Amino acid sequence: MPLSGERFEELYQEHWPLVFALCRSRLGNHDEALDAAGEVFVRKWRARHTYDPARASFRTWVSRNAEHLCIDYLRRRAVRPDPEELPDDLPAPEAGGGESARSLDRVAVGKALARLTPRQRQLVLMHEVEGYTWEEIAAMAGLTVAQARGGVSKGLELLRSFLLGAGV
Amino acid sequence: MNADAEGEESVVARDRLTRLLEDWFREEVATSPAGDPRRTPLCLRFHELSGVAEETANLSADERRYTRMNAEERVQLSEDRAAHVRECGWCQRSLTAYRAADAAAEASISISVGLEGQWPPELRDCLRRWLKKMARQEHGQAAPAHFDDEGTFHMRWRGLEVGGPVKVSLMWEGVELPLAHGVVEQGTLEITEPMPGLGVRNVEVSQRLLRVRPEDAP
Repeated sequence: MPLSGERFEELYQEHWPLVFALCRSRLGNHDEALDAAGEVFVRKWRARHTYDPARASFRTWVSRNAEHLCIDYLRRRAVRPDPEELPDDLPAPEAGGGESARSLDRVAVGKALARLTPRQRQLVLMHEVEGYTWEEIAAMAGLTVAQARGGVSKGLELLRSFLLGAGV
Repeated sequence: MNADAEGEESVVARDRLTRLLEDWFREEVATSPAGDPRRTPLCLRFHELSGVAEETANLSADERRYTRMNAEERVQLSEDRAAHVRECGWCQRSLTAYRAADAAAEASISISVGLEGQWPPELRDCLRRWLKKMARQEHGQAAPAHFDDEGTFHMRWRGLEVGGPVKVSLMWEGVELPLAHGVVEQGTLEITEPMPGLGVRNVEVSQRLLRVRPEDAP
């Protein structure tokens, strides 16, 4: 039974923040992330007849598509670089008066991630946060498993050094 | 520090880094907008996209015939909403994305399988593995396909130039696996037999890995 329009709107409301955050963290650009996240849901609406909740949660279903779409966006950007794309545009939580050590850490992590290349950033987040296997990352990113491992390893090494430098 | 202690420290550092990244991303989700701020109450709902996309697209008569529209997808917008849709960046981007998404899938192709009952278990396993592998490796150039509850294979594919009885084969690593026999009529091949037992759902099969040719071709 394909998803009804009403149910899809509910799922859209529920999963938009996740998909937007995923796109923004990969692309490092707010407006581009809005476009990409919107496109993810349009694609998924069009492909709703292929959704099988017994096989994957809606979260997994849209997240995978978001990863693929971000890879496409980054490839297009590599062909036609966007002069307005600023790596430092990656968001970090505002440090308020009652900030905790954890929120300071998150600020540092946001800044450190912004210093990675988009490809390194995506590979690291796919592996460390989304928990994709090496094989899945390689297949999605069009890499060999060795290249995927190498990319994540290099990204983590850089992150570690940036964070150490920031005192985290 | 001995090697064991160094290794332990490295694992702890790695775990901490993972936790930091997870925390950071969790916060990103928590602080994201609840929805696209550019989408207004006047904007198209998802279920309206297909109807409006077809009405406003410059489709040929054949393309219109091949486009499946059910009652939910038919849409009659009020004048003010129609005017909004024409001017709204979100609606126009969504319509463009809708048309572009799987543009190769307007015609419905189903595959009639007369061979499945004769397949030995090894061949079924092989096909199952191939389909799963293709779903991973060929994303981006794939046609959506799925097995329904009865195990019938459905696929949508536009632009077939052959007609009449056809053989459909799966090409993988130089090997051709006869997959199905069927008839293409105006781009549509009706399913007449299911393919139960493969245990595969929601695959995306690369069009370039499928070969469709006339039944009487050598």
